[in-house]
Amino acid sequence: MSLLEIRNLSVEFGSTVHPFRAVDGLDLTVSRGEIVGIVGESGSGKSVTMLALMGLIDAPGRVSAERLIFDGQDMLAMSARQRRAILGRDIAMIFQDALTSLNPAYTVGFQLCETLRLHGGLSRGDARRRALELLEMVEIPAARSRLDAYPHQLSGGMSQRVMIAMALACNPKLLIADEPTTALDVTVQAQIMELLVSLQQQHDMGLILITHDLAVVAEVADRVAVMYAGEVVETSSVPAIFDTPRHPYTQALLAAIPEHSKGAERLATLPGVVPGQYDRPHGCLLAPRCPYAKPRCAEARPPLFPFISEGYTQEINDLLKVRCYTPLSDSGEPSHV
Amino acid sequence: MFGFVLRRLAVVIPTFLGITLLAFALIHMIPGDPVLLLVGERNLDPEFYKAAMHRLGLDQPLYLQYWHYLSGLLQGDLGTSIRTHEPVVKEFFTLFPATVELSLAAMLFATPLGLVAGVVAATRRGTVVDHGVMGAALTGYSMPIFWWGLMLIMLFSVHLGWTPVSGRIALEYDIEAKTGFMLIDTLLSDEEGAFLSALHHLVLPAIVLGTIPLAVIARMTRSAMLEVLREDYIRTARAKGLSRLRIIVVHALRNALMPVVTVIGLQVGTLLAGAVLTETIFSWPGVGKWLIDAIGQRDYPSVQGGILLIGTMIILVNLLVDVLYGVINPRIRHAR
Repeated sequence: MSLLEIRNLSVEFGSTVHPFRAVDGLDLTVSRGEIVGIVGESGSGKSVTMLALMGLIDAPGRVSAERLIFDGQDMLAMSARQRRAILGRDIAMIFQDALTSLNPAYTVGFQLCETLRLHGGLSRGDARRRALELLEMVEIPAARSRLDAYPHQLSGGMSQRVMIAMALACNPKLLIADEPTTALDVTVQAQIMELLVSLQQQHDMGLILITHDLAVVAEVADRVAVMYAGEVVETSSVPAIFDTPRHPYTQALLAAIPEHSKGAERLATLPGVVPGQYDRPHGCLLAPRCPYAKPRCAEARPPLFPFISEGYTQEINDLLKVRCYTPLSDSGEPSHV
Repeated sequence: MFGFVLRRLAVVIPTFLGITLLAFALIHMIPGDPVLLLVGERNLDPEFYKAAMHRLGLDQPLYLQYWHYLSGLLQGDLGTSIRTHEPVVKEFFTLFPATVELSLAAMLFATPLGLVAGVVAATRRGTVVDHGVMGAALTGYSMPIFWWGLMLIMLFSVHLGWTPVSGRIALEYDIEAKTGFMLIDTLLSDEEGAFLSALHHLVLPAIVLGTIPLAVIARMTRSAMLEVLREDYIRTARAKGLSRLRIIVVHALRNALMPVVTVIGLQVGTLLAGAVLTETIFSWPGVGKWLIDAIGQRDYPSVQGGILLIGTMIILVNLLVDVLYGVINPRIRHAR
């Protein structure tokens, strides 16, 4: 049984008459011990999806879903209080900008102990001892003195470590990491990713890794969901998605990695921008930007099609889904259906 | 922390000098002089006038007068009142507790209420509650104090008879001024019912004086809270599964307090200015009323001394606010 099962999740903002769908009909499953990457450019709905899962979307935002099952519990049927009991204990989240994600008015120790005391029911002394253990677990030097440090006294990498310690305080079953390394120096990025993955394996957590850094996903993730304008356009496994992307958007995303443009004068780009609230195409959301678009692409939105490739094993084929009428073949050309 | 206070104190000295110069210049700019106002123009003997002006040192050039005033100040001498021949300091501090008591009561009324109103409005942003609170705050802020005071007296004292019209305590009580604070003095005395009477007299003036600070604090708290509630660490707190109340009070309010404390500090100035009006309406024997009388009589030393002392109070309160920043915000405390 999967740890998390999301089916047909939608998040809307704005008026009910002209709503803006930040997330549209998203399906996602995550199992224990699995790392799932969610990839997409800014505004593609990656973070909103996770905030919706945690129930952190405020009115006037509206969340709807067919199924939202976490660890056998139906989160849609839960009261706010029941949901809060899970948040921070079974589902934890770390964010992009660790420096601003820690409360500047309280010490690291206070913020760590807060979670421990709330969910673990620990006494003041026990919480402090456990907080120290946690800081040592995330390899913070001089952990004891850091307990009484304020966030502004920490470096970016250090505060992300504190965030990780805080997230792991109650041994969550699912960790959502929203661009955990984006705000950090390149050297620190690698350290933090390494730490995250090793902790994920130690604790056998499900890890959802939201990022726009494809290299990170290629390195650590088991599966990938590529999002575009609030929709999943391709789900696949690693490394299949990197070898043979099936969706034109995924292909363009991979082509945009600077290393792939070596020798070229300009980096490869996909012209145009993600559609906003008022210019969402009727058909395929990528159609206006897609180099392979056909007339039918503009007519109706394609669903997620299963994709069978003879070169893949059954397992890989089972995971592979593409939201495209003419998914790309092994040679990277659109197939003609 | 000590160095922090010292550095703040160093800034105070030029401010202090500025106040003396301004107070001196302004009061001397008003036409008329104390002798003229005491004796009256009609039966003024020029010889007597000359002698009196000489005795008061008012026949000297202004820069010399200012110099004498300053050198007196440095020796801790604020001068003697021309009207009563009492030292200005003594007069001031006899009346000052009444003003402080009133101001404290006003802030005690305004601060908690303003914080709660601001927080409630911020957390219910855009709702009827928010609009109601902010509308009331705007009304309160725009209210002319003397009009507001008179309206409240009409309603509560005249029509409903709930509160007394003026003064600090009912006439039947004779309270010895040990501290100058009526609420404390009545508790120290063994007169029964005196404390309640004093409290009774304090309520309405405190509400009148506290109205503007209340409105300002409520508006400031609301906007500060709205800003803080958008911060990343609030999202973190929510992701921890904390209750809404804990997020608002522990995580948001603490950070939102910074600008609010600034405003509360600034309100002390407004409060003392407002006290002049409020004390006049309610015949409250404080420094506000005393200062108005002193200006009317061109009692130069009293006016200069009074303004200087009030200015000092405001400086001290702002210093206290600066120190409080350090307490609230660890980033300031650690800045070197």
